[in-house]
Amino acid sequence: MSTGNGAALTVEDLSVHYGGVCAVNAIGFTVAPGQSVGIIGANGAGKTSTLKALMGLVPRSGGRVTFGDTDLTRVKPRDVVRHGIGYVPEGRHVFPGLTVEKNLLLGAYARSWRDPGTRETLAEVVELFPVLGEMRGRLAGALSGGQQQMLAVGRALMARPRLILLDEPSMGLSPKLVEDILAVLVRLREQGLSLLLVEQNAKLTFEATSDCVVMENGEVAMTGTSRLLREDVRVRRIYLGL
Amino acid sequence: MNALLRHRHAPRLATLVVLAVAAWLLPYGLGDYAIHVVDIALVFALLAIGMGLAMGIAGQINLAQIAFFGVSAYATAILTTRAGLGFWPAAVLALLASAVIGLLVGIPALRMQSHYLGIVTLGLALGFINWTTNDQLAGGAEGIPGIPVPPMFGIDLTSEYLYYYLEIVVFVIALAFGLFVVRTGLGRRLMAMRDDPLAAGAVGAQIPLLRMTAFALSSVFGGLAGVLYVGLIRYIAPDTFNITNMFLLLAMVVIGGRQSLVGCVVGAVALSLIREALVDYPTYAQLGFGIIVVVMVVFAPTGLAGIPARLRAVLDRRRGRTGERAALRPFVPYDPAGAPEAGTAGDEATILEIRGIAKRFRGLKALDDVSLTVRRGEIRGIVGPNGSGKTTLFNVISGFYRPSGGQALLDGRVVSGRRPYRLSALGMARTFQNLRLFGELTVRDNLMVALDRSRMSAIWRYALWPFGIWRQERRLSRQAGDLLERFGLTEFAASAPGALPYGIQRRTEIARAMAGSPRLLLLDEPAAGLNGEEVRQLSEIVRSIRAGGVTVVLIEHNMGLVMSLCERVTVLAGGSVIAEGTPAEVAADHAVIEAYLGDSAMAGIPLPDPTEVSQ
Amino acid sequence: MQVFLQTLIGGLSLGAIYALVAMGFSLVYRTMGLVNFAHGDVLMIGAYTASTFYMSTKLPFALAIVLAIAVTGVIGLFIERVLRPLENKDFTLMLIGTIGFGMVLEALAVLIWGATGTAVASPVKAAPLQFLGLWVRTYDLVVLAIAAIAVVLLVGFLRRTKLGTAMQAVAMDHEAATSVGIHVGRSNAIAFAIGAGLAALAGGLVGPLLYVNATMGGTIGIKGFAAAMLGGCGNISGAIVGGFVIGMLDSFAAGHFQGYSELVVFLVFTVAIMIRPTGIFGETTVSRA
Repeated sequence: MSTGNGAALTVEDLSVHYGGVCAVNAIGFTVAPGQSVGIIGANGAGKTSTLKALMGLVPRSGGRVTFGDTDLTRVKPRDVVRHGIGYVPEGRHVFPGLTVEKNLLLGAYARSWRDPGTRETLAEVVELFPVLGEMRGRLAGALSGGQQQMLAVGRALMARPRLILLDEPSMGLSPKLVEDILAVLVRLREQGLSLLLVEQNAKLTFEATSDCVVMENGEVAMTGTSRLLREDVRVRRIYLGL
Repeated sequence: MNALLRHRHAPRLATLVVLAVAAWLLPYGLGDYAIHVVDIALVFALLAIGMGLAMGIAGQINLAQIAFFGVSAYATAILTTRAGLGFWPAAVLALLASAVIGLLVGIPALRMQSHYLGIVTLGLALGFINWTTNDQLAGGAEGIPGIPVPPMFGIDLTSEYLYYYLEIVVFVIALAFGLFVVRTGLGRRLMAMRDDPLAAGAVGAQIPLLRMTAFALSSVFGGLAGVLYVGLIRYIAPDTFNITNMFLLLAMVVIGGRQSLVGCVVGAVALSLIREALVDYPTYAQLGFGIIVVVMVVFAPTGLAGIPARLRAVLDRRRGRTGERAALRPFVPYDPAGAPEAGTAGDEATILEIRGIAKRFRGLKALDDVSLTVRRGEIRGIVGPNGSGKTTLFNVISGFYRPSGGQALLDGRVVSGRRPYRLSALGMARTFQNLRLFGELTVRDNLMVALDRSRMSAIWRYALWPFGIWRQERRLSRQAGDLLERFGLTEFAASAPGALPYGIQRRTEIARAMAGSPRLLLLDEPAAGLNGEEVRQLSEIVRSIRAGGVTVVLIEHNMGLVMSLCERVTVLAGGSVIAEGTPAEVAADHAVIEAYLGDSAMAGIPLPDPTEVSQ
Repeated sequence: MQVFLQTLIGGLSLGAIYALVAMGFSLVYRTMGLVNFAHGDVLMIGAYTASTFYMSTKLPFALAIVLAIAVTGVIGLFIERVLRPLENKDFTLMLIGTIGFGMVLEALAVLIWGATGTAVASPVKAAPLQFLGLWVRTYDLVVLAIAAIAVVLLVGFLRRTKLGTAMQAVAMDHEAATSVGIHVGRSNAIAFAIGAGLAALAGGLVGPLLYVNATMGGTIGIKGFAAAMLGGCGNISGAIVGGFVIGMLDSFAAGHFQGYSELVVFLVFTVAIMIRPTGIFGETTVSRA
């Protein structure tokens, strides 16, 4: 995939409210070019809301989000992908009634389908996920959960993003498949792609990222390198409410 | 009733007197044609009330109202001219016919809703028009002339002036009855069903019967209009009952405000008069009505009747929110009556038993062989990662889903597969993860819907013994007052729940669940969206509910709350139970830690001080 | 048997018309969850426009229909724009709003073309053909052929083009569609315009079969919806099957119950839809996450 990009994602004082409920309260973090950052926390900590707010899929009630020189708060949700940000939604959200190939091509919607570059990217994605090549003509809805997850990641990669946002890729997957996801994430990281990974699975996140943000009740509870956080007993307390 | 009206409703009573005098004097100021127009407008007003009851109050799309109107008109015409019956006996039979057709047209509502119901009812109305234009019995396109004048103790009803008085009496009685229905138990249930059929079922409303009732009411009002119309015109032809008039009726109801019977009447009278004023330009009238309907739907979906409330809301906002001053009062704990008989062992102590419940959605396993037992008087926590099947389990227990396998037993009785309203009657109540309050009802009415435990079969009292309804209302109202007081919601009694802070909405939902005096209370993420202080209050409320003898099962993500509140915790992951025990046992369980953090190795890190755990 | 088959054949052309109506309705429904009760009236406008161009301006029949499609496409865009605030929100309000639009279109038609209506001469003068002892009107074959072409073009558009694929994606998951860069609002508008165009095509074709007047939209529209529901709301192949089922039922009822055909059709339809509320092929709804 693409390498050597210079855009950093900077989030400052980002807040999200649903009705009167504060889901995300003035959080901030950065993802440097090529860096991989994880956001972990228990259910309902505000992780998914954070990611959706970055994409503009839920209204932001405050804060600044920039990607390189672009002020993302001024970008329409449908145009975020055109600034080099790929999004893998929670629960995969592939287009179930379309074939695997169509799903992938839709990932490159912002580009021309006739462009040879698109075919090239398709070949690269299929190389990364051979199973998608085998299933090319199948309907996405007929794939297994793990395959759908690969497809969702592949679809996001089709836009040749510089930063990829992943929301709970491990949800509902068996430990073996979680390992596969981890391998993919590590490979993307090695290719120089910036990652922002939202996960409940702390182990996966610690292994896939260099730095982590721990969220609790919509706020940043802790930040640090993944290696140090891994050893920190406070993380488990936050998860188990002790 | 007068005693009740004397103090609070004095201004309203004065308005009624003025209206009555105006209605009395109206014919004296009108010419021959004008009184005819008014007579027709009253017929449409009756039709509109029926339509408003079905569409606005009960939320049932009914595009066959014009057919109910037609059925009774034709039945009266046929029975008087062909069968030689007197006008009034024919009218009674016609009303019955209309009600029967109403029930038949309502049957599809048991299986489908919204646009499906719209198309089916409209199709049936078209079928009716098709019959009237073709059947010899119905006179075909020429219609039926020569319908006798309704006899009335020697009063000559060929005079449209005198007929006006007959109509106005019937209209006032019908409107009063309609308003009585809307303002009492049946109307509240209908509105609750409109706002949220699932939640209405969960608090004990018998949804299928309510839907049929809505159509029956609608058709009786349509039938009444049909009888009056025939008596007035004494000639009928298919043209009166065509789709254009159906849509005109719809426009009346939408423009007037479908959720308010008075609004429906205003819409019907106004559009009838406008149509008459534009009688030489019917096409422009239709064009205008169509445009107004579109504009209303986009900008004022509550119609003319809703405009005062909207204006008030705008003014309040300008003045800087006057409603904010209301405060949540503290919760008044339940009496620790009937303390849980913790000592008794065996089946006696088991209130809820889940035996090998499975639930599949299109092959996807959401629950797989889930078993658990909840003892009477327990507070049980159900936790687990996202998508582990917790809410699905609640939906199976509370009758929203039919399990693909296994059984749920309440007090040793198999209850899985029963409808939510039956479970409610058996003493089960629940709240919802995403709050399902009846949005258009006040907080007080939300509670009153759930407090009303009367069976639907008791609605005969509306027709025959309204005083009984009245007494029941007063009792419910008193109970609602107590409940509001207990949950500290008194100052919000008259508010619409949607406008209240989230924490108050959550508390209202718990109060509504407790209104049915359940023995088992299911709480689905009661702490979601609450702040620290509110969570503390919640924990106090739940403890008190349990102390009052109610068993509580709660799904919760706030692990701190679960750890401090629950005696036992069941952990679900991937649709199966992976652990069960005391909070401390569960927190130390490798499988649980793996499910939550993805890493059992992390369980090796020493636990924090155990005293903290039991806190 | 012969009579029965002849009756069925008589229903083919109307079946094709209902199928077109149902397809347009389904396309709009599955893309944005909007139930368009003005669909029948859009068809009526299409029928009038086509007949005007064909009869008064003496344009070729095909060109007249194309112009009618263009005109109704614009009307479709307008309706969609006005009702956009209600999309994916309140079914009841949308339904009432589109009924309001229907009233407006009907009134406009009366103002433009008068209340009496017009008969449209058949563009195909050839005598009926005979197959195996069954008579088939040549115009019926033309209608079937054009409807078939429309189906092929629509399916081709949805399956083969980028825009069509994007429209399907919007129908399945509009949030995911947004995140890959699809303009959901524009996609919805195009779906609505195509739906209106299909109605106009049906209207143009039905002109020579029936009498064109301002209230023709009511019955055809509702039978078209019935067809869509029978096939499974939002399902394109369901719409086609449903259309032919209703068409043949119509023809059969007209043959056996004469004047009561509509009553019979709607009673049968009501019973069928109660037995299987999601239709033959099941409903394809928009996802409302």
